[in-house]
Amino acid sequence: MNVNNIYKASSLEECFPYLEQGYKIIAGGTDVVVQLTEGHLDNVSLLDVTDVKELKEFNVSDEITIGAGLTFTEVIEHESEFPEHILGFIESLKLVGSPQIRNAGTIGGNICNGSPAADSIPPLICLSARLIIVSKTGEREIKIDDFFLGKGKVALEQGEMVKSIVFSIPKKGQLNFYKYSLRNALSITLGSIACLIDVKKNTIEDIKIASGGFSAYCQRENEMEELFKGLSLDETYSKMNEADKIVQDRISMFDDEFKTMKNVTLSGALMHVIRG
Amino acid sequence: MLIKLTVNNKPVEWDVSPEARLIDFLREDLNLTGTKEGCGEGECGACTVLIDGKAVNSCLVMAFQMDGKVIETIESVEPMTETIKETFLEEGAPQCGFCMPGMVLSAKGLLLENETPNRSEVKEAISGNLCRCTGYTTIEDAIIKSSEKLGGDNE
Repeated sequence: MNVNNIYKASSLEECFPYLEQGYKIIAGGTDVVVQLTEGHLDNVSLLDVTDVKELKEFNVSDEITIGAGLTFTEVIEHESEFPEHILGFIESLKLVGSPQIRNAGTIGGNICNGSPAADSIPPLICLSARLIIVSKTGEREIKIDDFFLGKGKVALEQGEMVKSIVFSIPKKGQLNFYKYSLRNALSITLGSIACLIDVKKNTIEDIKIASGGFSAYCQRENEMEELFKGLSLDETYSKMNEADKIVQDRISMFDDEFKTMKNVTLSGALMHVIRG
Repeated sequence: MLIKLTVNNKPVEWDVSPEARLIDFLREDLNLTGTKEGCGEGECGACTVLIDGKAVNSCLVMAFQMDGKVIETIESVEPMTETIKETFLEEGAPQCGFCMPGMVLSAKGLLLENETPNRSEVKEAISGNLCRCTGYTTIEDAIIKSSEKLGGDNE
């Protein structure tokens, strides 16, 4: 481990000069410290943002605003303020790591780390979330779908940081999330699917699907959506092979020992989120 | 960097190394070696301490981030913590003992928020703490017994 300089910020304004010098942001530390101890991050300077109050915002109106610096536990504590049909998002947070990880890790960190296995991202893609990005020169907004560029690569320029996550409360549909991992706690996600699904008279009127763990980053699954739109719930079973085919090429790029399990995972997770 | 914090009810001022994790600072600088390092990547929970009353892996945060925080480790002699430790002993919860400091602090983190946890809440609270000796039952018993001793009524 080689850490050059450190700074603990207490306001957003204080962060900008350090961000411009290329300081790496550390919040809960649950990803950054592992990267440091394993040598994936070296020769860095660290900017701690855990006490930056502007990152701790939480607000519910027609839109929900979640400060990037809120820990998973802090967001879960707001559960009662979320409308029931989108509690699938809170479910995804409850499945993160362990109580200790949820007490430290932040929602902004989960997004900016850009892991393909990040649990909070597929539900946020289904909710068409936007990220509010700040820098010395002002604010900009980006759709969460456009934020991920590759494994661990996100669309943040030097000097920028994510301040909050915003999404409109969907007028209809039910948000479901399902994650496969080898055990319940402390297990990396093998594959996850989130789905915002609107079923009327047993027919899927509208569906949005996002996946985690099936490619280099979490992504919207447009092709799968087309597959299921307009079907009755029972008809969805017959489409699972076709859904598998959509991710087949992507899965073959993985070189880990779980590759063969991913197909099973996808159909299983899809069944869960579609059937509820 | 000079940090000021509270460790086990005592004010501490320390010039921490930029490379020190919280666990390094506790064990090597403060000689509080009760906190154990197991996996070093947040998977075993042996290094769990309380930061502002919440259970956190001390191997996954940097020491400099702790400026202004209140930290409690297994060395704490705070009455509630002592009660939990005694109950763990009475119930025969420890075998090799390596996971115990983390288990006790996770238990306290739970009981601070929920005075009357049921068994599934207890299991959830220690789901980030691995014990390879006991099979967890005696640990769960000890946490429920602790809550009763501390005034909760959970059955």
